[in-house]
This record gives sequence, structure tokens and C-alpha cells, in this order.
Amino acid sequence: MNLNPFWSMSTNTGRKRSDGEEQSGEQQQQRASPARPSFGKKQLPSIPKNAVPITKPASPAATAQLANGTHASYGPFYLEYSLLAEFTLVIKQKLPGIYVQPSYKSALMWFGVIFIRHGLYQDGVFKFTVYIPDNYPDGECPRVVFDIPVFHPLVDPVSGELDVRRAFTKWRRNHNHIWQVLMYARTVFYKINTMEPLNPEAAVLFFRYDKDVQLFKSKVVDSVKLCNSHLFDQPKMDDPYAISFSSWNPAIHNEAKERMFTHKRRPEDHQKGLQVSGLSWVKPGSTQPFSKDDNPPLS
Amino acid sequence: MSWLSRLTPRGPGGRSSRNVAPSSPCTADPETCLMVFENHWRQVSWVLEQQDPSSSSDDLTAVRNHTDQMLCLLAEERPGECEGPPGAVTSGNVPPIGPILDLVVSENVLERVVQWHLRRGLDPDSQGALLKLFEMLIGQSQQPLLQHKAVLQPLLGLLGACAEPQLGCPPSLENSLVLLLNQICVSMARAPAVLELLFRSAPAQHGPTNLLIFSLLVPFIHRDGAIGQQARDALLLIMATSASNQGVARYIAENSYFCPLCMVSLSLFRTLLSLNCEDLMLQLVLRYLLPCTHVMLSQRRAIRDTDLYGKSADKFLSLIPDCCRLSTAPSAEREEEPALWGKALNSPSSESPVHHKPSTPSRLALFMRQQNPGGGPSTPSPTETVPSSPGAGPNTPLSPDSPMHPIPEGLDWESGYLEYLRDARRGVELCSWACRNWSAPYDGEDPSPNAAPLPPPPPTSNPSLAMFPEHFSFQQGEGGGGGSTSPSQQRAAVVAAARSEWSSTERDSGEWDVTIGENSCISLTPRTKKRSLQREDVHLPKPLHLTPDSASLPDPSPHLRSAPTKGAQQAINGTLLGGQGDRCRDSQDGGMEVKKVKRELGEQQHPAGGDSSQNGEVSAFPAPAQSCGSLQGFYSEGNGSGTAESSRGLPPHKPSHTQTPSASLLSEPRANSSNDRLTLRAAASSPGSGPPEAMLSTQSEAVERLISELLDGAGPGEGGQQGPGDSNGQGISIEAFTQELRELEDRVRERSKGVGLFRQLEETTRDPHSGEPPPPSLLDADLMGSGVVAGVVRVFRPLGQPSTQPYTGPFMVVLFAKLENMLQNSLYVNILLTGILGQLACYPQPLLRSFLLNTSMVFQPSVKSLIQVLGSVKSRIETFAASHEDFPAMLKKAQRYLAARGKVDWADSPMGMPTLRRSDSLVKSRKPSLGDLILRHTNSPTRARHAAQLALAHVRDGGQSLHSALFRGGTGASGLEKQAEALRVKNAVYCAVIFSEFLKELAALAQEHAVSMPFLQSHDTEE
Repeated sequence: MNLNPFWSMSTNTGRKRSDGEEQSGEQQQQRASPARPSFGKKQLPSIPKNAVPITKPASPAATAQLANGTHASYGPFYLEYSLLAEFTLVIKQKLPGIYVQPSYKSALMWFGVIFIRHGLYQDGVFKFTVYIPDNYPDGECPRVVFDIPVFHPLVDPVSGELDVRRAFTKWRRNHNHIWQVLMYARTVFYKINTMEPLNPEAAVLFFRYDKDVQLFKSKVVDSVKLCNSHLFDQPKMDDPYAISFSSWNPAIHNEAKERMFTHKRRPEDHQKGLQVSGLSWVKPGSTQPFSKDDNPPLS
Repeated sequence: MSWLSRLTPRGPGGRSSRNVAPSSPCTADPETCLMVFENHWRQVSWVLEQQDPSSSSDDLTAVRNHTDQMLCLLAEERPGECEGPPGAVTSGNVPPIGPILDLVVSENVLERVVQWHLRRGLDPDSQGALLKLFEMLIGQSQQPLLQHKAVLQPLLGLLGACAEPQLGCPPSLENSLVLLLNQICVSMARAPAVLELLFRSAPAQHGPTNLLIFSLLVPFIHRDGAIGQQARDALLLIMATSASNQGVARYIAENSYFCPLCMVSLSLFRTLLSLNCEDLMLQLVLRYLLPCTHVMLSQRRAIRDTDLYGKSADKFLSLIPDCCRLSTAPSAEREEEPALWGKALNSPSSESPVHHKPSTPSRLALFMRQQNPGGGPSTPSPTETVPSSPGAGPNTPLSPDSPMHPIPEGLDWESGYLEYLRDARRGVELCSWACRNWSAPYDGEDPSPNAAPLPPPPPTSNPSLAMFPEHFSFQQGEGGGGGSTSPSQQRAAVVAAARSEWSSTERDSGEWDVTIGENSCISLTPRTKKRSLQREDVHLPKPLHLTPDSASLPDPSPHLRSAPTKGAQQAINGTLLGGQGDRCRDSQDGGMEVKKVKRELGEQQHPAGGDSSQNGEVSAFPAPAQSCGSLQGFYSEGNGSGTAESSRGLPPHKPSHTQTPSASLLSEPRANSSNDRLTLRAAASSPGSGPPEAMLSTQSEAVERLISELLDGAGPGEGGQQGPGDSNGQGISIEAFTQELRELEDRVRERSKGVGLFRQLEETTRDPHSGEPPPPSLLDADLMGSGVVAGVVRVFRPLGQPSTQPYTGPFMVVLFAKLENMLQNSLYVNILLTGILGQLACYPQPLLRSFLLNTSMVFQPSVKSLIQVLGSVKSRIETFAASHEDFPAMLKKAQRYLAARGKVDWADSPMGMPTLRRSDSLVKSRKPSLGDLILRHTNSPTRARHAAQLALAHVRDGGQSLHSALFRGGTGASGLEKQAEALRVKNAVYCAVIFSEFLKELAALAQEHAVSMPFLQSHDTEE
């Protein structure tokens, strides 16, 4: 367990701290996501393949069933719940090395950070913001903007925006989800695509990668360093839930870490007297009631 | 409308104060009255003292005339002054009794009159007259008559006679009987002391139950219309009253049929649901959904979808009838509840300037989730900064929080919805928490639909259980049809269920035929009012040839009268045989025949004393039917009985009498005309469908359910309620499940021995002394309504058979059927019903969730979806609203009334949490007033009791005013009709309110499911 100030690692090119980040000196609001049972046990994830959905030209009819005009007063609920549902999906996906969290003020803006664990961008920690169009899910695809423009063929060197649209030329509700966008944002750092780059320089350099490995690599390393050096900066957005980093402070973080490990999610207003657990004597794999051995249930 | 008058608060002492300060002008001075009374009594007693048993009809007439006069005098007599005559029973501040009553008591007048009648043999006419007299007496008397044994005893004697099998209560007198019972209960509620007296002095000779009132009422509680309403109200009164009386409660629980049937099992029923027990849910619902045959193949993958974009929620909300929507405009309420609105309006606006708080419960929870474990740095105060995306992004403020800044008009509505979201969130969360240790996710893949060929579950694998309402066809025939049989087909199932009608004129002829396709495709046609149309067809044999076309009937609606069947007779009869799939092909050649069995009137012995066959009111007396082995649907018929036979290779002709075939005697039809038990025999008929035993048992089960269904089906027609709704009563009886559930429950109990939590459960649900369960159980009973069936038969567990017919299980079918009939249901039924469905909709298992909440799911034609049912209800409400000009006003009042009740309810809630916003109170007043009022209080005895009290008050006030408005003075038929109409309107208006709220609830549930997070399985024994 690496309890060293985590971000000292940013200068460390070693690659043994794959779980270090999980111990997270991040001072961001700790997520108590229940969908992450395996804190601290994560393996270096394999790079997902085909995570990016193939988009086909959508039929114009897809947009026809727009907007819940009927019950306008519920509109905000739908939008907000849609986004929360998307967020729930993200959590369920357990995307490796990606953390997001909706902003306090708007469900349409999510803060995120991505940890690159190997490859050219290894050790990169890139903060980004996801902007979701307010006519979601009938609008265009969400946009991903890095706080600091990473040196990458698909990242605009000025605005820091990632070219997401190339993967989601048409945002199709029910088919496209925000987690896919996040996954895409992760993938670009592992599988580098130079087609129609937003950052021609990077593309060119990468194109000549074979010949000029060192040049591209050093650019990337510099970029990664730059990003990491700004890690402790105040968040770009003034939002209570913006992700901010601080160096490891045992006084604060040890306890938080402890809590993360031990936390078990329970229903919000779980009361002691309530039914603790549903009963079940169904033997797994069986559809027979009372098929399990006659042991009383666990709880 | 008169029911609205209940909205006018009535002082608690309203009635009693009349005793002291008589409102009606005195007709004559007391002494004159007494003299007149004495004069009448002298003449009566002269007759009574004749020992000649064969008293002439003149005597009878004389006695009746005099009795009329006497009892009118008695009713009008006011209690004496404080210096009243000696002998007055004075207790507390009760004024002394008047002289006439005194005479009645001392001479035991009533007892003697009643006994005389009973001795000479009570003819229906006299019986009716006595019932009416007592009803008048109790309802109008200015003195608390029931506290006198001299009144109570003869009354109970009369009631006892009504409960006697030999005499019973003819259908024509049912109204009088129920009205009387209702009056008794009202008196009892008013003076609880009567209750104990009543129960104590119940004559012991009346069968196993001394609880005459219960026994007599129970058969009626499922009726629709006025009679059912009165019975339910009366029962509710008893229950509510007895809630405060331990002794009586125990008595009820231990000694009456009512409770062991209704109270324990049914309210356990509900409790079982809340156990979140996998085995139970598997048995009830999930096993029917497991094979996924209820959805189109192409839809299977959608089972796991959640309502990501609020589409389902939107769909649900769109079903709120426009007529209900309008009236939710708060303007009226604002006028009338200025204080509340002021607060509601002020509060948000005061915080609104920098209001950025997350709004919806889920979002709130999200943040709480994040803050909780971290407990980290304090949250910086939000600023005004509006995030805007760089570039071309929309620069408008993103305001998902806008629900918090509603325009005033929207506040109520939306915040009400917020509350639903909160509840839904809690419900879903608790439920998924409770289900976290289930063995499988039930998501359409695990357990695999293919690997789940349903070893035990009969229904899925058994077409015979595909008893969708639409597959039931009641062929209503006229009386003459008895015994006419069609000579032909072998593969026919025949059920002739004769039913007596509500009205005496009809009851002689009422017959219902249920046809069972040879494959046990059972058809019940919705009962049609237009009997005349069917007259001609009655005697026709009914070979029903189904074409394959009918197999593809896409319309799952129960009202398929015009469905494309070939059987002309069917069409004429308004009967439809909705065959499905191969079944129809089978029946095509087989044809079907319907045989009617006509029974002599009065032959039967109704255990309840009523000869009214209909709808299994008998059912309320389950004891005799407890025999598990055989399929004896134990119900007596007024004038007909049905036999169900699915006879392949069996002689299709039966004697036109009741038959007592037992399932095991399948091949040997026996006629047993002397037996008044109706037994159904079923022969398995699906070709090649397995070993005979299996077929037999499947058939048996089908038949058993059919019995229930039969009993159930006729119910709605009783009270003058008619129309399409009738068919909906045809849900399969829950009673069968009750039995099944009981078994399950036993097993659960057995298994969980030593598990503390179950003990706790037991305490809360089983304790008959707590007085807590009554209200819900009553509702349960009500829900069961027509489903309360005596034929509690053992549930057969046939061997598995290839599943051909998608079927979502009797449980769901019943619930849906009942739901579709919402407009006619009483408020209580609807609260119960929506509560159960709401609870089911909390389950996170995709199979169940998609079935209930995914509105875009395409089901097999034979499977009715919740949204279809709701759509049907919606249109009925709209039709109703369109036909009543004052609907908006009524609706508003109903809303206000319910809200007011809910407010009280919540105000007293022990868990009354501090409200975050003012509007919460308004919100809460709206919603839980419906859902929580009675049903959902089961966790809290005090609240439950309180809810019962409220209900009591409701009934007391409402019933009273209703009654006084309609009955005082004129007891004519027009009064009854008016009353029936008033009840109908009342039910419909309440239904409209509840329906709208229910839709919001469902919508909220759909939304919350989309954002809920699964809980981890707890492998460790953490609790």
C-alpha cells in the first residue's frame, strides 16, 4: 500500500503504482459509489476494444419523437432523471481509471478525471469537463473538454476539447450513452488516431512516430507533466463538486480512505427495525421456491 | 351530490345532541303515544298468545300492521326527562328511557313478536318487513335501543334466521338485510358499548359463528353498488370500532369466519409481499415471467432497459385524464387554503435567489451519497455562476433545478410529484436492498428463459391456466335453457354456472355459462345487460368452432364481443371465445359445447343463509371447503349451478343438476342432484399434452381457478353496475393464492425459525389482539371482493408441460382485472389495489419491472399490460366525467377531502419529520392521504389505527349523511336507486383522484428505477 503523497508519482515513470491512484489522495468529494466494491484491488485494466460504438447515419425519424411536449411541467424531471440515469450507467460500467461526477449546479455539466495507466500517456492525470446539451438526449453528443489541452492529435491545442463527434456523428438516444463518450475519451490515449486531427502537429509527429519516436514521446511526456503540475490548481469551475486535488494529508485522507474501504451502502433512511433483508431459499440456478438447503438465510 | 355532503364537517355529537334537543316536532305527547302503543300491543299480544300454530293470514296481517304502528311509535319516542319513569336504565348521562321503550323492555315485546314470526315460519314478506322495521327502528330511534337486550335479542334472533340455511335471506331481501346490518354497525360505532353487548349476546345456536353480523355481511362485501358499499362500510365500522376493543378484536379473530379468512390470510398476503421473499415472488409472479413468453421475442432484450429518458414516466403521466388535470389547478385551493398557500409560495421564493440546491430526490441523494462517507470539506457556498460550455454551447442557464422555481401554478403539481419521486426512491431502494440476496437477478437471462421450463409452475406450462379475463365468456342465458345439450363434440368443456340475479325478477332466470375450450381456453363474456337480446340463444347448444383466426386475436381487452370467432351463436350471445394459438386450432375441430344446468330454486343450502348463489358470497365461509384434496367449489346456487367439464371423450351430456365430480373421478361423471355443491370436473383435453395425471391436475387447477373466476365474475354485475366493467371482476380469485400463500407462508415461517426478524414480522402481522390489522384486512377482504371464494382448493402442482400460452400468472391477472374495474371499486379497494401494485412496481428485478413499468414493451397479444389497463381506466373516467357536468367540482372536493384527511393523518404521524420546505406539507397532504391512509401504515400500529379512525369518521359521516339524505322519509325504490347512483358517482370520483395519483406514483417509480443503484450482495452475516 502506497501511502506516500500520491502525486509525487507524477514524476515517477515507474509503473508499479497502478493501485496507488485508487488510494486516492484526491480531495475531491469522495465517492462512496457502491458499484465499486473492489477498491484497492483493481488490476491494470486491459484496454477495451470496440468500446466506441460504431455510429451509423441515423434516420431522420429518430429525432421526430422529440421532447415531452405533453407534460411540459415534468420536463425538468425528465431531463434531470435522464442524466442521473446516465450517471448511474456510468457507475455501473465501472470504467477503468475514469471518474466523473455531476456538478452541483447543473446536471448537464460533469466533472471528470482520467488516469492513464500505461502506454504513451502513462501516468497522465487529465481533468476534464463533460458538457451535455440541454436538449439531451435529442441533441448532439456531449462534449469533452480537458482542463488543460493535452498534447494529442484529437485534442484541440487551444480549447482542450476532445474530438468526440467523430465517434458519435449522430447521437442516438437509447443507443448512445455518456459512458461511451467517457470510454472513448479514455481510449484515445491508448489507441492513437491521427485522422483529421484537431492537433495537426501532434498528428504529424505521431505519424512520424516510427522515425521520431523520441520527439513525439517527449512532447507527450511534457504534456503529461504539465497537466500533472497543474493538478493541484483550483478547479476551473467554481463548483462545490468540481474535482480538486491536494497532496496527501493523513489527517484528512486517512480517515476518508478508511471510510471508502469500509463503507457499505444502505438505503438512505434505512431503519433498524425494518426488514433487513429479503428472504430467499431459492437455490441459485434454480427456479424452485424453497429449493435451497434448509439453512436459515444469512441475515 | 349527497356524498359530498360528507365534506361538511359534522360535529361528533351531532347525532347524540339530537337526543337532547329533538329536531323534529313532536307528533303527539308521550302519554298519548304510550296509550296508542299499548292499544296496539294488546291486540298483538292477543294474537301472539293464540296457541294455534296454524294462525291465519289474517292474524299475520294484523300482527304486522300493529307492529308497524308500534315500532313507529317506538322509533319516534324521545328519551325521557331526567325525572323519567321508574325503571329507566340510566347509565352515565344517558337520559332515562321513554315509557314506550320501557314497556317494550318490560314486556319483551319485540322478542315475542319475532319469536311468533319465527315459530309460524317466516315468509319472505314478513321477513322483509321485519328487517325493514328493525332498520327503521335502529336508524331512526332517538334512543339507544340496541343497548337493551329486549331489542337486541329479537334483532339477533331475526338475523339468526337470516343466517339459517333453511330460511336464509332471499335475494330480494338482501338490500334490507345489509341496510339493517349497516345501521347496526353505525349504531355500534356511535356507541361502542353496543359492540360488546352485541357480541356477547349473540345467540349461540347459529352455527359455528356467533358473529352473525360478520357472517351476514361478509357475503356482500364484494358486491358492487350500494349493497356492497354498505356492507363494506359496515364491516369497516366494526373493524374500526373493534380496534379499540381488545376483547372484541380477539373475538373477531378467533371466533368469526371473517378473520381467519380475510383478516389473517389476506392481510398476510400483503405482508408477505413486503417480506420481499424471493420464493414468494417467484411463486406469485416471477415464475410466470421467467420464460419471457409474455414479451415478443424481439423485445426480450429490452427487459433490462430502464426508463432512461422518462418515456415511460411520461406515458404514465399522459394517462392522467384531462378532466383530472384541470381540476388540479390550484386556484380554488389557494382561495380556500390561503395560509397554506402563502407559506408554500413564500418559502421557495425566499430561498430562491441563490437557490442551487439539487432538487429531485435522486439528485439530492446522489449528493448526499457523495458527502456522506467523505464527510469531507464543507461545501463551498454555491455561487451564481452559471456554467456555460465553451464554444458554441448553449449559453442559457442550465436549470435542472427548475422544479424548485416553479411558477406558482406549477408548484403544487410539481412538488407533489417531487414527493412521489422521494417515495419511489425510498421504495425502490428499500426493495432492492431487501432483494440483494436473491439467488438471481431475474433479468430475462438469469435464470435463463430457456432453462426455466418451469418444473412446478402449472400456469405457464399449462394453457388451461390462461384464464385471462378476455378468455372468459359468460354466456348469459335465460332460464329455460336447463339441460339442453349439444349432442356433438367430445372435446368440449362445459361449465354452466347459473346465477341468481340481484333482483328477484331476474334471479330466477339468471344463468351464466362459462365455456371452456377443450384446451381449457375459458371464455367468459362480460355480462351484458341486454338479456333480451340473448334470450333466443339461450337454448342453443353452443358448439363453438374456432377458426385459427381467432388464435391471433390481438386484442387483449376483455371485451371482445366482436372478435372474429366463427361461432355464430357466440357472437350473438356476446360471447367470445378467445382462443389462442394452437389451442384454437384444437378447439376448431373439437368445437365446444355449452351445457346449462339448471337448478331448482331453493334447493341449495346456503351456509350463509342466503340462497343467493351469486358470486360466491358463500365463499366467505371457507371452512367447509377447506378440504384440500378435491376440487369442490363449495358454493350454493340460488337457482343454478354450473358444472365445468372439460371432457374429452366424455359424454358431454349431463343431467341438468349439480354434479359432484371430483377431479379424481374425472372419467365418471356423476350426477348428484341432491347435492348442492357444485363441483367442477375437468378433463384434460389438450391433445398430446402429457400423461393423464398431469393433464388431470392441470385441469383441476384450471377448474379450481375457474370456480373462483366464476364466483368472481358475477360479482360486479350485482349491484346494478354493469357494462364493460363487469368482465373485470372476473379476475381469478385471489383466494386460491391465499391458500397457496398460506402454504408458502408456512414454509417461510418454518424456515425462518429462529430468525429474529421473522418473529418480528409475525408479531406485527399475526397478532390478532393488536387491533391493528383490521383496517387493511378489511380492505383486503374488499379487494378479494368477489374473489372470496369458499372453494379453497388445494393448488395442484402439475407436471410441467410445454409452455404454449403466455400467462402472467393469476396474481397479476387478478390485480389487473380489479384495477381495470377501478371506477366501480370503492375508495378502499382502490387504495389497496394501487398500494399493492405500487409495491410490486418497486421490485428491481427487470422481469417484473419491465412488465409493470416499461410502457414501450410489446407483449404478446394475450398478455395485458399495465398500461393497457390504465388506458382503459382512463377512458372510463373520461367518459364518466363527460357525463357528469359537475365532475370538476366533485373532483375538487374529493381531492380536498382526501387531502384534508391526509393532512390529519400526517400531522399525527409519529415519524413526522421536519419538513424541508413549507410546500412539503401540502405535498404530503396530497399524496399520502391516498396511499398512506390505510394501506401503508402497516408498519406503524398507531398510524394504522389512526387511519382506521379516519376511515371510521369518513364512513360515519358520509354514510350517515348519505343515508339521511336518501333514506329518511322515503325508503322507496327510488331512494335505493338514488343511493346506488350516489355511490357509483362517489366511487368514480374518488377513483379519478386515486387514479391520477397512482399514475404519478408509477411514473415516479419508473424514473427512480432508472437511477437506482444495485446493492451488493451481502455475503457476510453483517446484520
